[in-house]
Amino acid sequence: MSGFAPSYVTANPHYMMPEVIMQYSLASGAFTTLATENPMARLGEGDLYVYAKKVQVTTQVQANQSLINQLPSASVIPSMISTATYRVQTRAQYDNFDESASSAWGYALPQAMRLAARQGIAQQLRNALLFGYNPSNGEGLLNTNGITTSTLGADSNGNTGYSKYDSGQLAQYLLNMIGTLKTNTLQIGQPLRLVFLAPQRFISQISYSGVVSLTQFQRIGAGVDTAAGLVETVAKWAGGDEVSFAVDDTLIGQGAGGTDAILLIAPELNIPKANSQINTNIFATLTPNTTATSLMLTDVSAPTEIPTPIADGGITTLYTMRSTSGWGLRPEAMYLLSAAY
Amino acid sequence: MSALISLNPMQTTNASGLFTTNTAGYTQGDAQDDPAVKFYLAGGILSTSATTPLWGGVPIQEFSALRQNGQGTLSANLQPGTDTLGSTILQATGSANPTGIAVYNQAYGGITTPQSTAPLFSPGMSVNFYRFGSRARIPLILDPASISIDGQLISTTVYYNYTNNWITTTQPGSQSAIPVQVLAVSTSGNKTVSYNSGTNTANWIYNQYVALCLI
Repeated sequence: MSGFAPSYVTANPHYMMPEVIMQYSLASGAFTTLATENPMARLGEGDLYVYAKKVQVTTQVQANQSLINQLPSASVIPSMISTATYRVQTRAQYDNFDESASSAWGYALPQAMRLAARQGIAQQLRNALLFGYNPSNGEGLLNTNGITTSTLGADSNGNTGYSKYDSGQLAQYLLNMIGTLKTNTLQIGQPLRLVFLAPQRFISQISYSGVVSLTQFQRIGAGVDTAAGLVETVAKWAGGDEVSFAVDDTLIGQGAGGTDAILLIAPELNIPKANSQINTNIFATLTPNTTATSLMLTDVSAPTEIPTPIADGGITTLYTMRSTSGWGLRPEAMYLLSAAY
Repeated sequence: MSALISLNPMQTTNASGLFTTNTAGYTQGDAQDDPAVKFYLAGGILSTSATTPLWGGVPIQEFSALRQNGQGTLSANLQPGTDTLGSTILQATGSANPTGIAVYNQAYGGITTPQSTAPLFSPGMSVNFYRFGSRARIPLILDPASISIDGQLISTTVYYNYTNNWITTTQPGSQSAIPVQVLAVSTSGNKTVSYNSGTNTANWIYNQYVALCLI
């Protein structure tokens, strides 16, 4: 630690503003990509791995006008998937002299150190969610094996960077991503919660800078809506989907070839059902099952604090929690777009 | 290559491939349910001379049950009651003719891990199998180049290719035929075992043809 509270010199007479001006960090929306929008605080403090079970099936039937006895049968096949967990730790240490030095600057050192430690852990959880602790082992949502990927091509004017892209065409591209994701997960006709996680500059481009321009032919939203608004509106009336946009600037430069990464995810799915009597998907109703497509598990919902007195009147505090990386359970429910700025 | 089960717990795995239009298909090594055949399901013990683990849906050789020697200073003694685990089983090869097919039915001892999702059996583990003549119907991988067997007389001669682990109509060298009859062919929706000798793991894959074989 350091409270880092040096002396200061002022000229008198003066008035000192009591409020301090804080450093702001990006409030990441990355956790909205998780089922239930938060890490799942289910781990025991010593659980080193997380396992999940999946069940698959092959089916066979035989038909005959009369009756026969040598019949085929179905196979139900369970298997497992897993991911590793890691304990994140940080420390804060100070004594009463440090506290009095900080008080000269008008803030409480214990609370400042606590918030600093928690911010460090929170940002590492965000990093682990998106990129994992160990990417080569398939950790982190962006490193999920089998995820659908594409690179934004040129629009009809030849622009490849999204900062100059035609807004109507960009909106259509994003809507096509939704259509592909929903087709791959057999969710056409099922209303979903969908999240686009992207850098701020992408979200800014499709909202404030993204009014759909007028053309010689009629197109949706021309002159009155933005690319983002168009995606929300069309997805709403086309499929009943709730589309939200979340920001995280660590995605800048993380797409293919150093472009920006834009992640589309359906964090929860519906169990598709179209007909109440003859259900060709009835096997999927076996319980208990999960509709989550992405998970992150932790042992506690906020870091555990373990304060210990140390010699000469000091105190040392351990801040710690255990977490998995972002775990893309179902890669088909994710779509990673690489788009140049 | 080892016959022991390998483990890599740090590898993150996911549940891809769980979205399908149809589930009609066969699972390799899971014999079709049949009350008249169920009681021919036999068990043995995988030989200590196996060089890879065993999995379901591959031809095996069965050697009659043998009493085993003791350990240490008793190593010269054939110990009583040590033949109760049944026959000794080895995976068949091109030069070692099979006597039956290993199956997954009731073989709950097979080991899976998240990196190796198809059950594997290591030496000393009990393995289940059907002998030729048992009339079990077992799904085996079919050589995609032999798809023309679909619709042919069920007594058409077929062979087993031990390099690719599949049923084929192409005779490998001078190898003798495998005594099975192909009752049906399925080209999609199947789950077959892909064994990787490098990582010593076996996983289900979904893109192979399967022949339902009456043995």
